[in-house]
Amino acid sequence: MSSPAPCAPAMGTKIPTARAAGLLNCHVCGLLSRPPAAPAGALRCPRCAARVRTRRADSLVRAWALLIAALLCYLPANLLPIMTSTSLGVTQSDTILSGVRYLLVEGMWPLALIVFVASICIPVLKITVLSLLLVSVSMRWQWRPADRSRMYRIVDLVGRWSMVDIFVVSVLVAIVRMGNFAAVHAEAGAFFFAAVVVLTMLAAMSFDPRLIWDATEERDG
Amino acid sequence: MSTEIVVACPDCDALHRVRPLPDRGLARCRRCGAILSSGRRGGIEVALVLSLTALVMFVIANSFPFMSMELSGQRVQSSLLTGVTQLWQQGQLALAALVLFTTVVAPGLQVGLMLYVTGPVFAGRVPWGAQRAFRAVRLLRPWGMAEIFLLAVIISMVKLGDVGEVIPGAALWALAALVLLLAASAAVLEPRQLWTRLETAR
Repeated sequence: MSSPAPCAPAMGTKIPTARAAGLLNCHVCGLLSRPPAAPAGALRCPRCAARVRTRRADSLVRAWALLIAALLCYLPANLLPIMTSTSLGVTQSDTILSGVRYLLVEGMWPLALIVFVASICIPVLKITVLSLLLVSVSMRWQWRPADRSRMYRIVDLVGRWSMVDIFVVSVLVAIVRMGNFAAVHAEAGAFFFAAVVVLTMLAAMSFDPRLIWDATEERDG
Repeated sequence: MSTEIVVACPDCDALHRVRPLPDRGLARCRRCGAILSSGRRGGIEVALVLSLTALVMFVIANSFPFMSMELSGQRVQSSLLTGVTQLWQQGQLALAALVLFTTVVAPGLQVGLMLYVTGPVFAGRVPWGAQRAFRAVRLLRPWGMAEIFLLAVIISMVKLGDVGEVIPGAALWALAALVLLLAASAAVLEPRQLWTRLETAR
């Protein structure tokens, strides 16, 4: 049946899944296929030839590893300066947070808000939500699976916007290069911040949201 | 013959039967709310035209001046790639590579591969490696960050407001157009439509 709007399934009704039906869902092209009886080597989607699996490979281990790596980079990303700017002999170092403060002091509060959300809120949200999802799946929680699915989708969707501060450094470095007069240098903090963004994006991609629902099915079945 | 197809929810694995949807129609998973399919009016032709325009914008964005800054008589001009070369020269090799990939390579590949697939399909042929090419378009999507870069440009211009005069170049407008065209070509084509074409033509 097609469902134009989401509607909550009646409690106790078991929803058929691709895995229970012995089907494989291609994550690239969305084709459902039945695996051959005697598969030779890795299973591939018959339509787009992508690797297909019932669940993403080593989802929890990979997501944990990437998330822990991101956590290790998080402190240097926020404590170390992301750039230093020199203007007429005056040198100034900027961290992620001082960049936000600068915009706020200058009265650019809409921009300050955007940068604050993208550079501070989103990384914290991502790390917290991914940790929560990983713990909840490992502990086989039954708690609000639909809300946890939604949390995953939000984190997956907004995560890339944290890159905005890295691009600001890249633009400033390109425009402000007048030697001793005025110059901008990228610093180590930018490297660690970019690492946090990329590692959490990869962690979100490694996590398989279907695991949230697998735990609830085991209770029903 | 029924036009219904069976799909599994990408986020929770629940099976659904989905009918063809009207334009702007949306089918959501009844269990977790994920989007299963969406009705889109545009076909492969529209995606092809948008991608052709995007290619022109991509070339302009990479060959014309991006921005220049004037500071007490000195004028420094930069292109889209200047940030990458400057970061490289400052020894930030990883950052330079990341910025190059997300702002130039990924959007360029998205446009190029989209043309490589939709062009021949429009003419009734399936090009060599079409499946792999269209798969790459999909996998590249989160890594093409032209729109985020554009936001960064706006923030930088505000930050530089009291330092010197910043003059936007042709490449900046081309990049803005490219962002809109990439979004439009993603919104206009239901990927399943193209996958079916690639499958039946083989």
